[in-house]
Amino acid sequence: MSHGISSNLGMDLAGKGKAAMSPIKPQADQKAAVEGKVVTKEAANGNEWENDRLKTNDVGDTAVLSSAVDVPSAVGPPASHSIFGVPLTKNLEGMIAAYKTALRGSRSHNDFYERFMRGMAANAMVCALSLFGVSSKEISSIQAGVREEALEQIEGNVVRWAHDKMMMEIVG
Amino acid sequence: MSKKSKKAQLKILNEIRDQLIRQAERWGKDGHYTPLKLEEMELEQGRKIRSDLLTEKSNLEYEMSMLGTDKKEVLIKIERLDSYIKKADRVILAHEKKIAKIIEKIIGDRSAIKKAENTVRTKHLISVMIDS
Repeated sequence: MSHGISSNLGMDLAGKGKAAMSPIKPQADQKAAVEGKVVTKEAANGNEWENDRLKTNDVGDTAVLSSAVDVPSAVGPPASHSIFGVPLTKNLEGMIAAYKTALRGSRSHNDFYERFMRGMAANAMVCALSLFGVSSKEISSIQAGVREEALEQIEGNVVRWAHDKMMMEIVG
Repeated sequence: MSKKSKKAQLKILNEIRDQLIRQAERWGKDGHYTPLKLEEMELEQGRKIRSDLLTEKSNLEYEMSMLGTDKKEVLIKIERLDSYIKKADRVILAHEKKIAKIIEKIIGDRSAIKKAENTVRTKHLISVMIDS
């Protein structure tokens, strides 16, 4: 019996190629354990260990691509949608505030980013607001309010500019 | 302040002015901030600064005479304020001249306008001789 075991093991150790082709049978593992040589096989990737050394098989034959996906246990609320970076919320007041910001940006002195990008966002927000049930009259009144505010701010900035310039001229 | 840094600051201020004018134009206020209007605003602010400097000077004088604080320090401050007030006067005068120049440019030749105005306003009298 013991002679049979050793001869079987000898065959396994002698031919590495053969071992790769034909995996060690569980009986053979038990027999190897009896002999003092630990031969284990990892179930996940198919690598075979002999004592502390890993039996090198042909990687091309054994490589397996695997990926892990985390699936949340509880499904949360859906991600919020946005138009050109302007978040679309269920809150109408928030939408109007976002529209005001976009509209103000659309009249900026900066041609590329503000005027073009914000202009597109403002136009898209008009569509979104109309979908929310805001009438065109209300939208035009919002636009008029924003215009008034912006012009007031510009006026204030021009006055501050004049003050700064004169201070520079006088005090230097 | 060196001349170079002053020039750089002025450049930045001009850039800010241009941006503000452009913004106003995009909100539909085309031609609102004309050179004349900007000059007037500057003049107004200059006068305001001058009046602030005068108030500060009178406060310091009051402080010096009534409260008896460190006279030397206050006198130095007053002297500095005086120089600023003089400079403010000069700057205001320069802006007034500039405004007059701009108005002249808009109106054109004043004597010719006065002549035309007189011609328009002249009342033609018709004398009628009645033979009795």
